Amino acid sequence: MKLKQYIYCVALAAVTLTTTACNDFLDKDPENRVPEEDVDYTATENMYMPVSGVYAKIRTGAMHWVILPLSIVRDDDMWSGRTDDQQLLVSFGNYQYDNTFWGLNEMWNQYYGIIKVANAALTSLDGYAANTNDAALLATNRAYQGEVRTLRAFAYYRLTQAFGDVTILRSNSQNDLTRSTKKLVEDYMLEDLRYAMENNKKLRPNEMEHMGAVTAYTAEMMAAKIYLNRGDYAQVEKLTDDIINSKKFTLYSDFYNLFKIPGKLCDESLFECQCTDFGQATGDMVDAGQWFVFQGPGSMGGWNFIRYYADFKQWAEQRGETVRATTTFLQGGGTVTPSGDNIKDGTANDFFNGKVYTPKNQMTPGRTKYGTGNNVRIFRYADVLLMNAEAKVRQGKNGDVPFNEVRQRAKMVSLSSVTIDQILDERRMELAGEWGERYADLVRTGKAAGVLSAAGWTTDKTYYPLPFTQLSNVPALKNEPLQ
Amino acid sequence: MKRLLLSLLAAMTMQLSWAQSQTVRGTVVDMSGFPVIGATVQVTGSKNAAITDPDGNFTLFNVPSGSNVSISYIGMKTQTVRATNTMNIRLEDDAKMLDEVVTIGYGTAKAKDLTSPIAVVRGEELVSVPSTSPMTAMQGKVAGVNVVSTGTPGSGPIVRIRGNGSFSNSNPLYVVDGMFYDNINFLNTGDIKDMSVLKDASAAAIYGVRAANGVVIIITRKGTRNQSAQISYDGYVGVQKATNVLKMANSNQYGQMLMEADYDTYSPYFKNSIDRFGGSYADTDFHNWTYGSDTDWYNELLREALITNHALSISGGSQKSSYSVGMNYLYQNGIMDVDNSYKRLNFRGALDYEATDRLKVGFNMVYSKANQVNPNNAAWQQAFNAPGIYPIYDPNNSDATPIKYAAPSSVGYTNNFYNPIATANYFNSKNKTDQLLTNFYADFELLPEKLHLKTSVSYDHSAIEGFTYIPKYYISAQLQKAASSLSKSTTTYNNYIWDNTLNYNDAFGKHNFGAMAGYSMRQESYRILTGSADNVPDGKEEYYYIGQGDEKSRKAGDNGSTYRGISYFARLNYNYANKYYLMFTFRADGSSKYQEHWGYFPSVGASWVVSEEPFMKSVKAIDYLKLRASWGKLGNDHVAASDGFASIATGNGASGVYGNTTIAGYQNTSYFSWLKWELVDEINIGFNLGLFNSRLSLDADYFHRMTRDAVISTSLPFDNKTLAGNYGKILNQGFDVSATWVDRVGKDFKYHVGTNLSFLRNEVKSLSGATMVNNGKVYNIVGKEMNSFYGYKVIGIYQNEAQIKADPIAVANGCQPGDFIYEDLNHNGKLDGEDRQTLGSYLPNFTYNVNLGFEYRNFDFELSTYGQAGAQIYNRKRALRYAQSTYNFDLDQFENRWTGEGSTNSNPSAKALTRGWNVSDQRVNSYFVESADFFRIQNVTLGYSFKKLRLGSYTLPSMRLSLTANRPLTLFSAHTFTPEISDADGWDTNVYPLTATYTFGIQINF
Repeated sequence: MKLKQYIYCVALAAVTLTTTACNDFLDKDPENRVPEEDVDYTATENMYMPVSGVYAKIRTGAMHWVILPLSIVRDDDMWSGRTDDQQLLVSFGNYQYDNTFWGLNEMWNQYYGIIKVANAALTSLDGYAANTNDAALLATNRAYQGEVRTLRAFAYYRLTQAFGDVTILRSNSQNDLTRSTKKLVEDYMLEDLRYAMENNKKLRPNEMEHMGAVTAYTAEMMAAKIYLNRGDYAQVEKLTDDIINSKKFTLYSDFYNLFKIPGKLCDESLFECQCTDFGQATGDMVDAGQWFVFQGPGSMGGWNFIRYYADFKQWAEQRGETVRATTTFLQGGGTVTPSGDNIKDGTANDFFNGKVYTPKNQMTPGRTKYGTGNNVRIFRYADVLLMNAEAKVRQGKNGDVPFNEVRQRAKMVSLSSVTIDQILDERRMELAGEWGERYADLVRTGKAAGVLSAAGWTTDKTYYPLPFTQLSNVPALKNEPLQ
Repeated sequence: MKRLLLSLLAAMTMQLSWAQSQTVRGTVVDMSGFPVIGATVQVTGSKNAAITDPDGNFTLFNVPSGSNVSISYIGMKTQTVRATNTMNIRLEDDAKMLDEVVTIGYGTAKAKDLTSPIAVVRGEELVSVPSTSPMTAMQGKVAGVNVVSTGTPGSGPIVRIRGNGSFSNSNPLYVVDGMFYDNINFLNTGDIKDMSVLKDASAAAIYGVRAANGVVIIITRKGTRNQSAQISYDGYVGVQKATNVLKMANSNQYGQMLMEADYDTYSPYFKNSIDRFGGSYADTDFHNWTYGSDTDWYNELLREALITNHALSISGGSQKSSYSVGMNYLYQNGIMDVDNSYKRLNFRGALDYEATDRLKVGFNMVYSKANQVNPNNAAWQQAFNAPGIYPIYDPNNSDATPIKYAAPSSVGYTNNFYNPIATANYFNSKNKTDQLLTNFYADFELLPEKLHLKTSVSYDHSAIEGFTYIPKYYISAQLQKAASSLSKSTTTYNNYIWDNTLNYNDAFGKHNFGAMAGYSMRQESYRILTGSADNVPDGKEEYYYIGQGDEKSRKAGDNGSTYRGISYFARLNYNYANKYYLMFTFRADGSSKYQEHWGYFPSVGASWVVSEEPFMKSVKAIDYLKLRASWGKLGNDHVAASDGFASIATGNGASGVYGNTTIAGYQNTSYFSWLKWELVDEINIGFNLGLFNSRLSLDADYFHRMTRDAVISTSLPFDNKTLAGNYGKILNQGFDVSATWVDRVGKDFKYHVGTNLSFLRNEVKSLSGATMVNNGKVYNIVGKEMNSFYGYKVIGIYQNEAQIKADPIAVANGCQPGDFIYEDLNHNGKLDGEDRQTLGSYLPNFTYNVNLGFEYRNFDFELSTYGQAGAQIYNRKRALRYAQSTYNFDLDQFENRWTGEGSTNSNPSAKALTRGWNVSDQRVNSYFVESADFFRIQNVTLGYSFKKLRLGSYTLPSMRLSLTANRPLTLFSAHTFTPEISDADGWDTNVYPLTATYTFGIQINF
């Protein structure tokens, strides 16, 4: 009897167990994770979110600190600033490239990271577009697509400047990663930029609803830079004329503060990487990593990288530069800046990058990280004016007007019937320390062989070698580029 | 009522008249005639049993005449003899321990009935090792179990059973009283009754999807029935001392290195140091400069630290019940010279009760409360990198507050340099852990001695509360904290397992059967809640609340996971005449973790006790020989359910800034893959051999383990990230051998010598078509060991310019004398990716342990050693110079550097170490790959026992005093703190010194 009871219990238990053991118990979603399929593309009020994500990627990727030295060490004006650290950047400055340098790989990956985020954002925007018939909303959608395409083109532009022939990643799941020729990549960028010119607002970035977002003019300027490299001056003139004739842009009068907090998103700005500390002494900062810090003097909390050669400073002085010299050359050795900071590092012959100098008295009180609250300037109107001048002179026209506009702001005397060389010198001074414009100018004008050969430059050193890690992980990079 | 009483009385008389019973008294002694204390004397076929007292005496009542009693004791041969009124039993030593009861998955078995290699370690063997984690004490105890001790204070060791079978997680499963754990660091070693290591697949397969990396079953202490209260105290106090601290260059040596590399570049730092902190650079030769600051950062950071442990335990039992309670207190100071410690208080209790003839119930629990004051371990890394040329304190650093710490910037350093002492002190971090493990069970006997139903619920709850507070301070522009910061977290784990098993045993003639069927369900959940704020007032811990900080700076976050599992399992045993054994197990596992819910894990094992065969009876030397073979399939669910970027990234990191604020953004570049569990197939063939009257015991096993669907992370093209997939197939094969010799010399001297050897060969068999994948740090190449270092082989040093001119590779790369010569593998006169080769991997091919011990009169002695061979490490500490050439050097780099033609052909010049050709994070080379072979004296213990100590009118049964040296000596050649690396890829970034511990212990039985 008792035994039967037990057996009955067991049988009952067995039945209960097997019935509770349905798969319901096992069907459990992972915690704290929203699957991608669940993005609600009908919620068009979220349509800007993927676009904002691409701007974030520009900030976190394109502002990796190693990208700047890699952009500037190949010119004759600047060097990495330190021989005791990251010596390969010094060797790179002497055109001894080493494709195992981690920075090359970092730069490659960061720019392709932007491209991937942008590709995904375009897919998301297509998703929103497919869910509406509203014409205004569709126009906004196209404008947003234009913004993303402009940012994507920027990543390709920087990649081609560094590596020449690179891979066009038309989709994030692309299997064939064979590179395309630089020309093909540029055509691809121009397509993107044309789309942006057609669909984006003809406004200044600081007029945008999303303050500081790229506009049709940003796309025009980037296209102009590509045509300038190609030597298609008619296109350069046409595009820059359009920007100039819009009368929307003006040079910021105070060159010194142009690069500091007062000059953020001024009317000269066509593209900036924005950062913020929310005006708060503590708490979150959304910034460009170590971009400012690594270029900062040690006594300001920086890493002492990036310096101008004393020769270049001398050249500037001989030109009679005042405003631009003070702003550009942040002199060490105990020199006190116009803003009252004492730059104790190095000697009076050490010139740090004044174009990222952020005075302590402009920072939010309580913040100590060098550069906090400042933006990284990417494209500005002065470049548009100088491109316009050059395009005109190259085509036998007079470029004095745009040229002298730049000089006047710098308190330099106006010149007449300016020559190409004068324009190139002006560019060298005006754009010093910004994104390696000098090297690009030397290469596109064929002057590199003359100016840089003493340091070891030859034509085959024009571009950096492909990163070692990428070559070993992606064998297709060794294929001949697609024509 | 009267009738009832009468009938009861009648029943009792009837019982009495049926079986003539007697009282049996006796004494149990060992081979030397010493009493055996605690031996179990049991009437065969009944529950009537007794335990011998300190004099070896026992008394059994109501023993039916003609019945047998069996006398058993661990380490001795069980005897079964006819019961008589007075019995004098002499037990023989037994190295083989065939009658030992071994815990297997969901049951127990006798050692002699096993068909697979299961190693058992008794709690007593572990307590002599002073360590906070029981697994640390396991090192070298079991062949095939590789325990890698980590130097990190407060953390447990890394345990590998039979090699690495997984790229993601190779930790074994721990089953503590039925509950699943990833580690058992919370347990007190003294609370462990025994640990069974299920090494092969046929033993582990009953744990299915959790078992691929082997299973360790831990049973906590239980009481014994029919035993008077046993009260014992066990304690030790000792000191921990850092050993093998890597010698670093001093200020002068560091200066010589850097100025030899480039005088113009580096001399300003040294002049700065001398100007500010004293010394002289008057000598024209910088080799002779002297330095006022010559800080030995490790010396400053280290201290000798206390460790002490006290355990009290009481256990016993009546005829129907048994109990065991205990408490334990452990206190350990960290070796960093700041306030850091680990304090743990454990309580445990176990109760088993026979509620009715057929129902047994019981419960046990372990409660552990630990308080940890954490050191800032970042200080070790900083001490490793910091040169001596700046001091700890600098009274002239006028801006420094609150303490005048010296700033690295005072000699000119900006990024990457710190003041390690300041880092260690400007830090306040504590963790409080409460962990409760409970288990309740009920065991119904459905058919006496044959059919049991057991249901058991295990529940584990643990909660960890932690905070880290960094005060406001200023050392230099780079080293400052403008606002204090507080971060807090609360982590909880709630896990339960409900096991139900039905067990059937029967015998027909010589056929013995056993069957078990079970059902189990489990849930594991984890939650974490974090918060932080800035500007929380300093001073007292009572102020450390988020609400005390700036409102704008407050942040919160949380995360969690919940996994569920359902399993069905069964085991069938059969043996014929205790000679031929067969075992089958099967487990069906369902898991919520993976898209594919169900997996099926079968196993089979067979053994043949050859020594039972008539033809073996004539072979006198062999007492016992068993041949075993088994096969099984296992799963590893310790791989993530999926991999990839968070499907959609949101937050500030994915939001653009517009003006002075962000607009919410998202990034949905998803590289996503669903993963499934890894599968392991294992074949095991082995034997157990007892020789020369059981004095020599030898176990040997060959295993062949193949992991399929191994999860490998591969670098995504054009990305710093990796994505995991079930791509790999890995083979581990090898031998485990263990041998023990136990004997006596004369009457008083008993000794034993033993060894555990493991040979392992690991090979990547396939990578889903690819021949090679790179996970960022190491490469996996078909046909090579997994996680191999892959790079250039250094074949010499360029000695002079002539040699460079003659070598096109040297010319093309601008090499200088003192630089490495790399092997041009394909002899094409160019050095490129094709010239790389595998340079070794961090998987030992051979691990060995030798232990010996003796007992002589009141003395006992134990010595154990441990070592490994065939493993390599990548000295990332040295290689990190690619990122900062001014990091300090280790002394060997200074002493053995190339200084000119003919000085050395294996070490680079000082200058070479600052050049990318020789030091690059992408150009891995063999200079940084070093042998991880080591030999260690693991533990030396000397004890002296007082027996029957008279204290006035009270006789103390026994007291033992002991001295222990734990890890007193480790020998190795690598330039590292320890060749035992916690990084699975073998990247040596370890900067914690290992510690040796010297303790004095007392054990008292009251």
